[in-house]
Amino acid sequence: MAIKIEQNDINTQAPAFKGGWNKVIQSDKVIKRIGDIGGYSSPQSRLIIGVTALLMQTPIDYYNKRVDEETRTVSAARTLAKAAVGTVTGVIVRYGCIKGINMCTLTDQATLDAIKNPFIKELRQCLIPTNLKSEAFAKATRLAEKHKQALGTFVALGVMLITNFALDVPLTKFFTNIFNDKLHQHKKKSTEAKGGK
Amino acid sequence: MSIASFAKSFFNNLINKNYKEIAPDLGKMLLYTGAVGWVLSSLAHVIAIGINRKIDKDQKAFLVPQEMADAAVNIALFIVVTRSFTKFGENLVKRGKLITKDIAKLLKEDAFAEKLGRKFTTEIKSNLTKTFSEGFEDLEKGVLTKPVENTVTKKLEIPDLQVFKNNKGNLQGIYYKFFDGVSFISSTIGSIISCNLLTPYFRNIYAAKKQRFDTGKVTTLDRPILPAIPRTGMDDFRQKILTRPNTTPSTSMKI
Repeated sequence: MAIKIEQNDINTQAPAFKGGWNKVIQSDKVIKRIGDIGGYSSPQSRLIIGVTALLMQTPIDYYNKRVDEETRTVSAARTLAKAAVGTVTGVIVRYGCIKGINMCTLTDQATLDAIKNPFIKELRQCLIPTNLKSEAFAKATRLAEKHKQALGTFVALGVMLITNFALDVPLTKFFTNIFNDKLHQHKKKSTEAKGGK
Repeated sequence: MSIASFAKSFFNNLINKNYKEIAPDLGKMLLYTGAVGWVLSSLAHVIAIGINRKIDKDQKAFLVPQEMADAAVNIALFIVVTRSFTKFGENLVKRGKLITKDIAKLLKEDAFAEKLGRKFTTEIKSNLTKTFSEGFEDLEKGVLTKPVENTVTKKLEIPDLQVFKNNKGNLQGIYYKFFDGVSFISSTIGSIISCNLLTPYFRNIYAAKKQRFDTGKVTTLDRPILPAIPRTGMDDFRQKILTRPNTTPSTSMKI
């Protein structure tokens, strides 16, 4: 049942509010947006941090006057490659782990009853703790969500141990060389353009 | 006990342990796993730099320390900066400094605070998370001094206590969605500042100094080269002794 809220009826003099500054958000759009963001987890976080790393770390390394120009260029190319490869693999691994955890923590009885194969049925519940009684209890205490997040983090760490060496290393090396060549070509063109003027 | 049943029992114990001990305090676990992840990633990239033949020795002398410092600085700044930002955002919501109109509407009811029992009156504003978890559980258990229906439920247009109890999930949902959103936003801002601004700045300083040291451009890290103090040989020493002025006390001195 939805709760109806009376407009312009917030009494900030009530005992619960006494003492100090507070900000009450009135806009439904803002509240909804913040609520949607609350549903984000590690894949979205990794994507945001990865994209901002591409935009912020690369120029910091490219314009680093503490080293010579050649080192600066290679460093920027490597940072760009590392951020790009790390973001893509990181997001995919995290998303995959969350999907896998959700598949193995099924509590909906109707869906469970529809599964005929006993092995599949047991697999679909294998990550639920033995003392978790109902979906309602889990939702009320939020422990089920935290339990899934903790499991997802451990599994992702194990998977990334493999992907770091199997994927990140060769791909970063490959793209570093490509970006390094591109940056050198760009520098050469801009030097020629300045010299031509 | 067969191997399969032992393995199953061991696995179930791990899952239960995760639920009881690790899930309630995710912050520490995220820190430890994050630190391990950064160290392993750094190790992998140091290997990547080492095996890349297109990068020459002088550049590797910068890139390897840069990568190692990246992991160390990231871990340190995660503890100092990212966690501070996250705690700040969460405390804004927990202490009622930043709330939605729905929660404000509920809190403005003096009767609501009173009905939850005296002990919660001052605690409500100081820890909303506690209110929305334990407070509501107490409501369900019936730890009330007076009936709720004529005051809080009427204002919230909930006809009776049972419906109010049924809406517990809704009210908690409203609070927790907002809390999680603010927590995500504040931790992301902290991570961007620590990982993408401060970490590259500090690691570049360290890596540049290490490169100058490793390539022989300076003989010591950040210390100027001082001139050597000239040493005195035996001949010079004898000459100084023979030519020094007579310093024996005068015999005219009287005690």
